[in-house]
Amino acid sequence: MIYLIGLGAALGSLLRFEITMKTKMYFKTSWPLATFLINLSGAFLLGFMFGFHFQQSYFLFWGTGIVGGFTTFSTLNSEIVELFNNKHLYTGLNYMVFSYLGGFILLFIGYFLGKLIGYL
Amino acid sequence: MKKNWINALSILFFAFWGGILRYLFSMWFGFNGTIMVNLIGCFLLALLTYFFITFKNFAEWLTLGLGTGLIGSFTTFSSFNLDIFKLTSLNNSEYLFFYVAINIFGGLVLTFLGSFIGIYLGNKSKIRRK
Repeated sequence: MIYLIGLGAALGSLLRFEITMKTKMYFKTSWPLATFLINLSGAFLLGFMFGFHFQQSYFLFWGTGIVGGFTTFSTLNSEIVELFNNKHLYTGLNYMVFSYLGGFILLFIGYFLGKLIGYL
Repeated sequence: MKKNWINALSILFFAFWGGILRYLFSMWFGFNGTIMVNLIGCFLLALLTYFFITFKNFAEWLTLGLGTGLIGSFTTFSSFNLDIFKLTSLNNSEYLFFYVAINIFGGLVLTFLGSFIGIYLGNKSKIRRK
């Protein structure tokens, strides 16, 4: 079972890498768009799976594994610090606030959507 | 083209272990496990990134495997938010406050700390190389 989590995390991380590369190629902004979108969509998806009551083994692979490996907390903080260091204080603060608030709100929405669809 | 495959394989390999480690921490320590992986991961990612930037002597596959793969997969933003959600229904506002604050501000402080130490170690290794 534990290897299934590892496999999911491996796939989720590779997907994060590919999306980050592609996004950086097409959008040239100081705002860390890739990680932002990855983290928010991941929070939404995990909330959905939790609300939908994924069976435990499915949740461990798709949630803990894939989505857990897809989203990242360390890169988020590295990017905030990089923005601060480059004197983009305002962008850094915005990025921080929108990531944390947005992540929680989207997880909430995902949870209720998952619960709703679970009832249908 | 071949280089891309090596990078991808390296990320897959290291992220595999990062995810398993994260799971073990959450099994052993519950909510505190998420705090630990996020804080340790923030410190290590900054340390590695700035060490690699300063020292400049590493293959791309290794920096990607360790940074994006191992540590990226080890830390988690989604579980952090799910933990907050679970904690809001536990009626323990003191721990909830502690959990949110230590993740957000601890992560930031440790990232700063990691970057300073990374630059310091990188410069030291550069001198030794000469």
